[in-house]
Amino acid sequence: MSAPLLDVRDLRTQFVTEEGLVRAVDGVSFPVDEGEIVGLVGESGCGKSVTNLSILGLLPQPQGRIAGGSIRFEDRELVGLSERELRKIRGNAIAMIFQDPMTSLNPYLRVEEQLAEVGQLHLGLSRPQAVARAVDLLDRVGIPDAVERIKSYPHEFSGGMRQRAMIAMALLCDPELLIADEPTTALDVTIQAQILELLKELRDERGMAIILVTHDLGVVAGMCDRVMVMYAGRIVEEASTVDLYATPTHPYTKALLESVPRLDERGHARLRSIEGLPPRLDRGPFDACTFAPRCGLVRDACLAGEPALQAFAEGRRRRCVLAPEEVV
Amino acid sequence: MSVSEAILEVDALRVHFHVPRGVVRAVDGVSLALRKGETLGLVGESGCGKSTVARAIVALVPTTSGDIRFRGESLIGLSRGRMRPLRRHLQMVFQDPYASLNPRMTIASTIAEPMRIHATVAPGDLDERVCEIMELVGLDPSMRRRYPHEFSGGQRQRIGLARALALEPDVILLDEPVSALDVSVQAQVLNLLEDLKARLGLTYLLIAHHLAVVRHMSERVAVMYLGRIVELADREPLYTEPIHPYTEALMSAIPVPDPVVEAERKRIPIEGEVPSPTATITGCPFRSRCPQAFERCEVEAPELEEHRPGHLAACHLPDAD
Repeated sequence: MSAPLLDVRDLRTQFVTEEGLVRAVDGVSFPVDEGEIVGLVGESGCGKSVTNLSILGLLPQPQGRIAGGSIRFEDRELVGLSERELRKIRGNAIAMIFQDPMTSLNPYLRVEEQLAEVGQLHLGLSRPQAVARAVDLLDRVGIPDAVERIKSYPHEFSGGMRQRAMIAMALLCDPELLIADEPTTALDVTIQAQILELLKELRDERGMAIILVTHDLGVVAGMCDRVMVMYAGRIVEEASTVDLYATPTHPYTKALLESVPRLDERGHARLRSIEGLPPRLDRGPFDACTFAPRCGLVRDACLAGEPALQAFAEGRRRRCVLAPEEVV
Repeated sequence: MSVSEAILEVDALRVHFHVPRGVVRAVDGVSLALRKGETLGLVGESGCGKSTVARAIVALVPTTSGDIRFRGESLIGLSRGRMRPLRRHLQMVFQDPYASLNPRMTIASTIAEPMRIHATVAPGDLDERVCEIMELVGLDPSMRRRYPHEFSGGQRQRIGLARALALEPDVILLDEPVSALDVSVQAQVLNLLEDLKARLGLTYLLIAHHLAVVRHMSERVAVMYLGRIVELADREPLYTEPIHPYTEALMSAIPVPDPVVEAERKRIPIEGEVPSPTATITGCPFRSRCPQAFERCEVEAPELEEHRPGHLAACHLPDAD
């Protein structure tokens, strides 16, 4: 088997804050293969976005730092690279899109300037070549009349069009890996459906891998090949999407799936709620399962030490002292 | 529906805003009646006017034309003095609990404020009543001297709810009450809303863009598009046999948290985006994106009419069949 496109090993990312040291990501490991769509799910503060910012080398400075672990991309170690080196990779082989397109688009520059610049800088194209490529991509992502619309300023685009323009910008250099952090959360559902469909087509056409960060379990179900569920800076369960939804084996995953109302709901079952809140990450390191205080199945063993993330079936890992069948 | 069942009626409501580019018809002829004890869901995408309907009901935005009646009495053009005793019974809860709470007021003062203004509780009894209400919404009364920033998002939404409940209202307008919350906390708040409704005999108008949440909570659902109601029906027929092509497309666009179901589902693509709110619309407002539009849709705006018993839609298609 060839090496994965991206290999994150025991990543530890920390923030120095007034309240103390926040262990935002605490020992996260996962591979991403070429052409694969991997979902990172979890609630606010679980570390899913920080994981991606670590990969991209975009941690807020000076508070954030990678305290340990390794991020290998195409057999190259990213941890410890200079900003100059990282910049060559970011926006080139690894591209990113965020929830708010205005974080990536400059409001003072016409879309044409911004997109053409990428082609000129990263690909060494001439200005006319770079503009032509940008128009092609805008057309590809579904912006009508791209030749004219490229002359607009970002504020002249609707939210959906800005998201498309940001995706076009991310694709300019034909990335191997696209990191999409809540790419459709700010959009209406009909536009969300269009954007998700577009991302899937782009994966199929280009064999591009995608890490999709989302809190929406519906979006994951329709998009991802594999899912990692994060809680309190850790992966608590990993499986193929089909396995995870059919037989969640971590109590948190199971509770999360039962707490969302479904559009195809029949009758009326009371929603499962998870009482309490996740632990504060400035109180770590933890000497017990981080989910134990909210877990309905908690027992002495859960408090005796933090369970390790262990493989228990083909392609499946979980961090729980109970046997899988005790949870299902 | 007989008038006696309706606790709140909105009749041909129009809310237009004048902006430099023209007139935004945020709400353009909305009629609905809220039946006592029900939850009516009002859904639609951003800019469809659903929140403006609620804001007009509680007079946070001026009404351009139309009528709003609470227990048969019109709220339009009432003086403040006449409005106040009625408004007690009609409360609103907002999406962002943090933005709607005064950061410099303790939780106890925030919850007590409406009771103080309306003088519904003797000053000596206020503290006890605040504790009662906090318990009702699942907050620990010993935390009442704290400030909003000391609470989590879910707790703040409970505080917003406590403030709305302070005057023992009959109707609560819930404007995106859970969309700022994480799913596990969202479930806590939705369950609480259901418990309170059953316990206190409340009536809800639930405004949300999340169709699964609305299905879970509502008895009847109204779908809005571009300032108008395009479909209104009981929950089950609306979700299982929608009449309007927009409702159908909207439903098909919502992902279901089940990969096996998702792999089988067919999306009904709707192209393009909602027209600009200042655009002059002739004919059906949805026709520019409707996969089934025909000539009549271009010239004549469909009225919201009953196509099946209790199932209203604003669409020419059923007539064409």
